[in-house]
Amino acid sequence: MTIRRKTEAGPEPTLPITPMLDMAFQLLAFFVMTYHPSDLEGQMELSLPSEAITQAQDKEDIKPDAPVDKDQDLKLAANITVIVRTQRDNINTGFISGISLQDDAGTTAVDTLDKLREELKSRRANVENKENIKIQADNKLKWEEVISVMDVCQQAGFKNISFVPPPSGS
Amino acid sequence: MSHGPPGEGAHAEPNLTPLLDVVLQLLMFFMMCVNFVNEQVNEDIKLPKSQAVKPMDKAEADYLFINLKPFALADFQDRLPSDVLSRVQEKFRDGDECILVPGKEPMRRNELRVWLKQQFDDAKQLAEQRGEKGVKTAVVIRGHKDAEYGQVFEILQLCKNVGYRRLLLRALTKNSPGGAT
Repeated sequence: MTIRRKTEAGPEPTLPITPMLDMAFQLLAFFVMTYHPSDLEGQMELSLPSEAITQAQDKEDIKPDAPVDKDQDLKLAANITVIVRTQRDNINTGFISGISLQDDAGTTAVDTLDKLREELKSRRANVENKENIKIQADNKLKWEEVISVMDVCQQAGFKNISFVPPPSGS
Repeated sequence: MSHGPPGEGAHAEPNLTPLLDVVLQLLMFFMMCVNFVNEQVNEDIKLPKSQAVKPMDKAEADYLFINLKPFALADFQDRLPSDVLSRVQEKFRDGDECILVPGKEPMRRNELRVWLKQQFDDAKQLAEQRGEKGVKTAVVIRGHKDAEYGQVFEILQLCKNVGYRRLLLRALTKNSPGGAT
């Protein structure tokens, strides 16, 4: 048997909004004050020669007595090398002072990064390896400048960029 | 015309619920966008800007961070305990190559070599236990914009010689608002 009781309409429950709003405002103020749009950090993968490339193709290629060229480690098979120079006069040290392109035909100097881009684009059409390029910079060249040269190489269509050891004494 | 005190019958009460809704939405936005200091990266490293960088792959978790910058004592003065600071002061002069690895004291290249080798051996052992083929860890090089090419090259070479096969270079995207100019 069920008993139904008619209850009188009691007081309507009210949710205290004000303290909740206060707390929400405080939290909001905290996050607004600590918020700063983060710098968008990206990454680029450095191309290393794959294991398959470094392995000898034929038995005749295996030369156990050959001296180990440690400099080869970060290099890819590329036809073009961008050589970037810097001065060491304590004023312009670290900044680009000269850029040249080296390939099978020889070495050509270029004045600016824009000209380097154009020159790379035109040479890319004629080289066998259209993806790989090497950069050789002076020891003291700022990393920022190296990255700008890498940008130009990418814009010219070279996807795989590798590094060559800086010339000794640079 | 004069305004008298409100009568007993009319009691104006503002409706706070929509306001609370808006505030909570704003709160949620800021909570999601907040960038808590990432312990893996170093805020002192001013990365160069690049157009060639790609967005980071967040799915990949196995990274090893190496920060490189010219040493400046001011960067460490209020952050390190006095005994560590004195050791650092003995080891570095302003402008020296300084390698910063999360959770470690600033180190030189030879110390980095030892540490990297140890990390690689540990990772290799772990990979063998899991039955994986080779070490999958990617080394992320965060070079300060004023670091030298020779220094970065030596570190890359070092990582390669230790055995790491994936090397990543970090930079800021060119359109980034807070980037170094």
